[in-house]
Amino acid sequence: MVRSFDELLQAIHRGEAGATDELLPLVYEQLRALAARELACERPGHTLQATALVHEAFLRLCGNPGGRWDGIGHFHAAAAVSMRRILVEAARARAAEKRGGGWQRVTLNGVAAPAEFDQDQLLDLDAALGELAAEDPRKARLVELRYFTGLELAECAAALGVSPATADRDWAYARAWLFDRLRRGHCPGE
Amino acid sequence: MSDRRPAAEELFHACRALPAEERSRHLSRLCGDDAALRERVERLLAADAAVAEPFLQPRRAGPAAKAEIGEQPGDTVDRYKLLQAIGEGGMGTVWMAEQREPVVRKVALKIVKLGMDTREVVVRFEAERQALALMDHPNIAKVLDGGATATGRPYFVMELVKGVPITDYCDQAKIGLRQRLELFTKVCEAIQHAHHKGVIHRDIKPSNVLVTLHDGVPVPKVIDFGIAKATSAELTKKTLFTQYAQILGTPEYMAPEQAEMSGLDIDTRADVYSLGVLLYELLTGTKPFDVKTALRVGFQELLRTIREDEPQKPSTRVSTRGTAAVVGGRPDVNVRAWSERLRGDLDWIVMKALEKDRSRRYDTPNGFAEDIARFLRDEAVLAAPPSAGYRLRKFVHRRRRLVAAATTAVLLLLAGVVGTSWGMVQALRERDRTEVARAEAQQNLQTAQAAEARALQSAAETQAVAEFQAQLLADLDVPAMGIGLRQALLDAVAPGQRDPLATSLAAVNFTDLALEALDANVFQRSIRTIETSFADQPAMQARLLQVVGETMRGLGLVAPARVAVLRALELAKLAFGDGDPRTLAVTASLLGVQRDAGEFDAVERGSRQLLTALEQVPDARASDFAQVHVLLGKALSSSGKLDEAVTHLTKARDLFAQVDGNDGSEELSVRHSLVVLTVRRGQYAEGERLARELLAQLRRVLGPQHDQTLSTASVLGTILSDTSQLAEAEPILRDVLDAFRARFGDAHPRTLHAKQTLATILERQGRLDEAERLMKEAYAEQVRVLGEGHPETHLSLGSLGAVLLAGGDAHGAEPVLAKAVAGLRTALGFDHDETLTVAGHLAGALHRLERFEESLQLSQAIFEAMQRLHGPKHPHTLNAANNYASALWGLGRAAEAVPVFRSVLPAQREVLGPTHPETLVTQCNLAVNLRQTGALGEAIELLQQAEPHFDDVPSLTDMPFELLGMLAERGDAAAVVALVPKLVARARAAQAAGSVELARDLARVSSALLQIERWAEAETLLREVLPIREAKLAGAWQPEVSRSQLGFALLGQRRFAEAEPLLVAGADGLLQRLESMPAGARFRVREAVARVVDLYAQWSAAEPTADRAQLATKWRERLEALPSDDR
Repeated sequence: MVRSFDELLQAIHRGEAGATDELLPLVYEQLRALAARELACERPGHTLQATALVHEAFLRLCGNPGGRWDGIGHFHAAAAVSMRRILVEAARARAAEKRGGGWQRVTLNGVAAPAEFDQDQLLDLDAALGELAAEDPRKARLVELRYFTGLELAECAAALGVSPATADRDWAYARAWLFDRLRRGHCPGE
Repeated sequence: MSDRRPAAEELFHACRALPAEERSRHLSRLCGDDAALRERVERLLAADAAVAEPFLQPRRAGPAAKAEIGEQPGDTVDRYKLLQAIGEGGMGTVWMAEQREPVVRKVALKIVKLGMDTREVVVRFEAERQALALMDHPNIAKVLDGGATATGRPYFVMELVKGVPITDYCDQAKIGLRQRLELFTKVCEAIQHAHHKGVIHRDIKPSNVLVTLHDGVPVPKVIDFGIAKATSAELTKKTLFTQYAQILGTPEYMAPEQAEMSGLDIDTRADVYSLGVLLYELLTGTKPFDVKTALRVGFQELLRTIREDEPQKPSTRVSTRGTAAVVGGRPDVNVRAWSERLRGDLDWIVMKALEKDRSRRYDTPNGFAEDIARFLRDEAVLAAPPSAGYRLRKFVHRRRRLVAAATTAVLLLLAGVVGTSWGMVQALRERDRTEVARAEAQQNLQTAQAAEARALQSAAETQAVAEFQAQLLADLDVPAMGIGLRQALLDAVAPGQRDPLATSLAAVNFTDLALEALDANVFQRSIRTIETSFADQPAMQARLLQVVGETMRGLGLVAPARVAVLRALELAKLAFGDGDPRTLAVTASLLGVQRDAGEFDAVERGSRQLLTALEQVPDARASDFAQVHVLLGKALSSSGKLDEAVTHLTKARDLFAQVDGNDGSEELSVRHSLVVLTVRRGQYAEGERLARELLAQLRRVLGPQHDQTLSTASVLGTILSDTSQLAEAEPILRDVLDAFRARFGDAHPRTLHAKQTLATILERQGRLDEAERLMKEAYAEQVRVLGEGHPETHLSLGSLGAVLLAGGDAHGAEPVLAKAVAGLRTALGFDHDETLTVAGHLAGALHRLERFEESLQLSQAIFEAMQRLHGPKHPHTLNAANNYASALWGLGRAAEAVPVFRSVLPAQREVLGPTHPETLVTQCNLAVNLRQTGALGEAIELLQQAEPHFDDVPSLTDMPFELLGMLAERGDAAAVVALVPKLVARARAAQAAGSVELARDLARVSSALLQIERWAEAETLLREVLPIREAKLAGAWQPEVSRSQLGFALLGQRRFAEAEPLLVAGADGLLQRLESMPAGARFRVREAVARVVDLYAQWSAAEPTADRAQLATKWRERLEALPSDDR
């Protein structure tokens, strides 16, 4: 049975095993649709307004803005994973398109790259985040939450269940770690 | 390792807290001799220090300023000086301001309150700006500018309107009902204009509709266009966290779908709703809902009211509340009389605009205004409920086109049957009369001649009657009949059984059903009557059968039409002989049937023979020749022989022009075909010119709503879209859609087709969500109206898939397209144009999903099918060949792709012309593939030929750089030098100043310059590239490459001392980063080191020192020590 967003949040709140796994595809689908729209509408190089998308996704999913708020941390976690996946997929699609021939009739409109990263760099960031996650999953999740859904550090701290000071230290370290990794690693091709 | 990571992290935090100069000492103490740990921490600290602010900056806008900062008169906002505050609203303050440049004028400047996300508002406004600039209407106040104030608040600049809200004006001026309605109609026209330009207002309310007096005449002006859109995303977002009421200043005017707060799915019909509220207020002096009462219960209650409650009818509201509000308490206005005038038509009009379900509202403000105009002219309004009496009255008074599809169909069908039998009675009566006359003649020789004359006249009359009936039947709208039949069926069952019935009817094609009914009940009966009643008059029989056959053909009953026309031909030969013009006319009818059956070769042969035969006829008319030229031209066009087709259609046009004069409908129709043909040959500019000319004439001659006018408008819209004049194409196609909607209703195939065309434009404009919405609507409507198994429905699904694909959603598009292809394959077969078009999109989706093998197989199958279907030279075949070759290339099989491209190119040049976009894309594809197979010279030649057109075709933007690279690779200095200024200008125009992309483009140009040893020019560009890359790609290897290249440019100019530091630092930098560089770029290291060797070798030869010789040796050793790379 497919459960509604509200039901899932309540199930998670009750501590039901597996409910979190059910939440992810729901959030992903919603965000993907919104992001596709957003990416397609904005002009190239425009930043994807992740915060707006995430809020919008929440509104659409919960339907009733006066509804429950207990599971917001879980929602944010699922949203962060989803946004990351969506952006990476967009970057891959773009990369695939670059390899493609001059397809006619079928317009292969690409999605726009976010401002700070071009698509190749985004793929590198994704890979680097994977490495960071192997070493320190909490920090990687923090980056996901902060970078891909635009949560404030305090909100990230709440979502991860750590103190704001810890989140702050983790953030500084993760940023330096990733910057170093990307600087040494695969920068965009010439 | 595992125990070192936390240590490194701790040290990182510890050192981070220390001033930079103390870190080193601290690290030495704590790391001891663990050099690896120390290096690791140092690297992290260096990264921490180097990390630039935007790196990993959350993807969101900055927080709004915290404190409210009020502007004062005299303050300046950008180039506007604030003069005085003229209004204060829920959203912000409106100022009268003075603009100083480029012209001095007074404007209205609206500064949005704090609490809005400035950057987002400004970005959204910018996105809307182009559309806003297109609006030019006397009843719209132009939005001139927008931006952010120094304190970070969004502002908008508008034409200054000195007026009062429309409701205040009406009350103060105490104007009557008619004047109110006329004023309101102007508001509708303004909103309609905006909708045509793609702008939805979203916030129509009295304070945004101001009335000013021009020479005593009230003129409404709609203000604030684009502002609600710019601020609306914010609305959605804020609802989560802030109080609703604060943001929503005027919920009374909000459409139910806006009240759902999804904030997304708003279209032009939301404006229609708001207009409805405005009219309600103008007519009753009250708003439909009492917001204050609802708000007392809560905000949710208010939204619920707007979404669910039915407002009182205006007439009821007036009779319960009185007219005091409406007419400012004019004592001479009688409450009862006012209410009476609203009752009926005006109640219906207002309530239709206020429908909760927007699909039941007026589709457009124009539709709304037209209904009001009908009321003012005492005509029946569309909003009226479908009561039998009202309908009948309407039918009596109005043209039948206005009747709903179902009624029209039934009545026309009846008219057809009755007409036919009446016509037959007449014909038989005439025949009897002739026989009587003949009998009389035998008795009276004197009257014989007169009787003979009457008999002849009767025959002519009979024929005229038959043709009149044929005309009636030809006007039948079969799809509308089908829709009517289906609706009639559904209406006949109990409401509870409708859904199951609709489900089981989904597979029935009602258009076909209506056709079959027509065929069996009208045409076959007519044919039988003709055969029995005129058995002894072959000439008359032939004429009547020809007429009936042509009518059937016109309605799409091709097979029975063929039977009738063949029989007519047989009879005509018998009655008139082979070469008689009347027999030849029947032959022409047969060719028409063959063309509709797709037998183009037969038509081509037949019409050439017919032309020869006509030349033998002494008094053949020009229009007879013209008609055959049309047949021949269209057949040639369908088989891809475009040049010859043009010759014949032009001939037909000139002949018709002789006959009919310039405004003859046949000539206009041929000119339409010529426009389509011109475009198919790739002559877009010429096609556009012809289409505009023709459209202007059609509007004048046949009127803007005529079928032919709409067809040409639709073609012009498509041309504009294909030539990227999207902003102009869109309103044209919206007009076409509106016209079809108004005439045929939402469900008619022509409306749906227009909707799809519009969706394609929106898709190309990147407005994919609206395009997707339209496609989905069209699809749902088709499933409902035509059933799921109908080819049109599959086709519509295919278009939807294409939009999804264009939106980058290949995952979502692939199953949709696969389903559409499967359906079309079943319904039409694989070897069918429509199936193959959608299959082409599917191949594209598979390509995008990197399922290259499947994509290749499908592309190959499409290519082969096109060859079977159209022969090798047809544009569709060529297009399929190009896609097939591209799929080969996608799999890295350039050597196999080359021969395919090679075979396509000459054919495309011949058929489409050498400068058609598809020809050019093939040409460039061939060049790129040739370069990969080593044929550089030929590749260059092809690209140079195409070069003048690079800017015309969007998919060729990369080609100039490709060409430059090829020329440099061949060492063609003169050509490179000639191309460089153009490319630099192109890069500067296309890329943002200081961007990584600009640096990349300029770097590509400088690489080519270095290759041909144009040192000074390369130096200039590299001096621009290097600082950009140092800033944007700090620490990466690319700046080092540019550094080394700059040194190389100086070395080429023998400026050794300047070159040395750059070359050495570049080479060192790259050597340090060797391990982390992608394999494909490692040849850059070797290149850079070799340049240093060169430097010292040349320098010591020019100005020998021991040092330089030694350094040359040292670097040569380094070069030799480098691992070899693949390149």
